Amino acid sequence: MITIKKITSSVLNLVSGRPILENISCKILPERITALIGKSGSGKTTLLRCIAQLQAISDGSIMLQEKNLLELLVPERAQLLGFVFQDFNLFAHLTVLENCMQPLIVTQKLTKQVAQKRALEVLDQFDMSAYQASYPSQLSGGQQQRVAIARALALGPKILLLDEPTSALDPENTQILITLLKQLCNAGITIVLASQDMDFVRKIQDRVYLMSDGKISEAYDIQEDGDTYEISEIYLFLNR
Amino acid sequence: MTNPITDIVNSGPLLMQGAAKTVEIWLGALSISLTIGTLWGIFRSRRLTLYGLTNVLDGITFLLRGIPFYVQLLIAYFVLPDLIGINISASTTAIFSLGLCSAAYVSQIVRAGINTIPRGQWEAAMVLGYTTFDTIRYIIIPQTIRAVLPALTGECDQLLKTTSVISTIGVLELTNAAKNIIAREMNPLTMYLTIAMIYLIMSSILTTVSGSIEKRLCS
Repeated sequence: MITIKKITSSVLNLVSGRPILENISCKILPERITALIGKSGSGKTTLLRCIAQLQAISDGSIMLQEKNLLELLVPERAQLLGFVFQDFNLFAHLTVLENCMQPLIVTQKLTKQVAQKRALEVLDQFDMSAYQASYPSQLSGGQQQRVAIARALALGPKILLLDEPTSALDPENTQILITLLKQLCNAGITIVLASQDMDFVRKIQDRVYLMSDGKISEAYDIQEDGDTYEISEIYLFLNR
Repeated sequence: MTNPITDIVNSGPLLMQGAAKTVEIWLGALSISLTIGTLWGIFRSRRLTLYGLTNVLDGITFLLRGIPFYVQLLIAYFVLPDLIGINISASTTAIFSLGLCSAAYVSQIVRAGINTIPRGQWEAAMVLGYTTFDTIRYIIIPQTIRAVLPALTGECDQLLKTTSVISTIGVLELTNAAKNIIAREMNPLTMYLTIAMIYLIMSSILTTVSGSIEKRLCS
């Protein structure tokens, strides 16, 4: 479980001059899909980036069980957390296979043969092994996203963070992604995602945090709050 | 008037010796230029700015780019040995002067190239566990090379041609070799056109090699 305790981001909102995230606390439960929803600029992506240490926090702590994520070295953190960016950020000069292989060789010091085997296994899971020799620029948005997820999962993280995962996907690929995320969740991976795609979040419907103005205004958990869901603010937000 | 062909044939060994010296000076200066210029450019890029060091590097760049290379060469050969009390040969002075002056330009090319790499590439490397050194080595430099290769080739070419200036401190490179032959044979037209042709051939080889590298990288 990730326990986020009273974190305040270092980055300030350009209009209000206040931190984008202010004094946020929440819990990310293991082996569940947690969705962060809210209006544009509400702080969803910033919260994900703070968890991944892509953005500094000025106050608070992020604990993964007993470990403080902020104190971990970059390679240690990469083995715990995978991150899939909104625009995927695949390495443009590497092929699909190299994108998945190189992090294993560089950060986990695996041999080329072992790294290649693992990279092909994970690409196979996402039906992308046929594209192993292609460059990212030769792939569609949905294919790039599958490679980005495969690259993150090749390192064997326990938690997968996804920023606006459906922004480049058509309805068919969105449905494939939903199935995929549920499979990963069943395989023991904790998933946290930020999304503005209410249809997508409605279909996933597991654990949802509604964010507004850098704060969590409401939380909903299908296992705990099933009865109260229909009158909650989240229900209204998702069904607008 | 002597036959120009006979002049060129007779001057051949001396010109070839001069051309070899030019290539030797150029390769020495190029290795200094690319090594120091690349490191310099990395530390001056937007994401790796080291406060304090930045001002020092900017100051050196300002001097090296602002003062004509000819003046730098004269200072390096005639003034510096007196100041530091060490005698340095003309060839070594030429290699270091050319190398450092060119490094200032290479650093700007590399800096600009690194700054064009999207922030997302750095962030992707970071979340995958790459250290800053690994990120530069495996992600940033390979992409930067593709972006700056044409500009870098231009700088290498410029460096080759600038070697002609070092004849002023007595290094027997191609231009100086031609000057010596002209002083003896009084045939400036033939000799200057001959060395112009030799510079053109060397420059063409460089352009062809870099062109094929660029083609291979971009394919």
